[in-house]
Amino acid sequence: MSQRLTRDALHLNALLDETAHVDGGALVVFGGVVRRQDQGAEIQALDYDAHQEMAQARIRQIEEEILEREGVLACRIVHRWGLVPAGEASVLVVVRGRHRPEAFEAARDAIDEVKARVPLWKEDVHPDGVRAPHPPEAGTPLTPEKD
Amino acid sequence: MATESETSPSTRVTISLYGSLARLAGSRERELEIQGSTPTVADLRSAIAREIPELADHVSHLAVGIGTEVVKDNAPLDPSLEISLLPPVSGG
Repeated sequence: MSQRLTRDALHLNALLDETAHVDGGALVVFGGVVRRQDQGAEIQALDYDAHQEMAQARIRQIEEEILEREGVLACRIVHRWGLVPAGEASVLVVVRGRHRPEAFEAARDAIDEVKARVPLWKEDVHPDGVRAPHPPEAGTPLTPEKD
Repeated sequence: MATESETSPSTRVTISLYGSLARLAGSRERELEIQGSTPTVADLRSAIAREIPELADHVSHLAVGIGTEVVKDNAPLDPSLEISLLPPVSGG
């Protein structure tokens, strides 16, 4: 699973294998999972739209920034696009560090950066098929990447 | 006598619409004629506000992408690359 954006279900074991590091005393995994209930409404799935090339490039950039940190040995991020049913993961972040403080911090920052910088947009899909797009003002505005 | 539109150079661009913008505009792509031979992102915003009423109220909240980069308003438009309108993001 070398891509950063996929339509397929995510497989944690592939990321664990890919990031294996003999000096990594800490392994932190974050998974974002589609909730069945959101603000009182039942959700059947989320439908993610993506600017695919830009999303791949920005996820790679975030991985590189996290890897530059002291004590971080590996960072891999994969996000789904298209329909993601309730109960399935939409994103996985895997960080390996020498010790747990830097690994926890790096994993948290990695998912925060994904949510703020990667061109992905979700739409709620309800069991009756009705779709509820998020309004254009909702979310975090994209800005140019650092020079 | 030639009219101004016949004599002024213009640039035709195709813009890709992402997220809720595609639904608002009713399509994934829109074409726009922008006055000037070297228009900028700011010129694109003005043209969207004028030519695409469905997006006019939102244009100030939108980022503009050229290729795989989000660009500033003074960046020149390059019609050979994808020009995208990007609403605030909601991944994760």
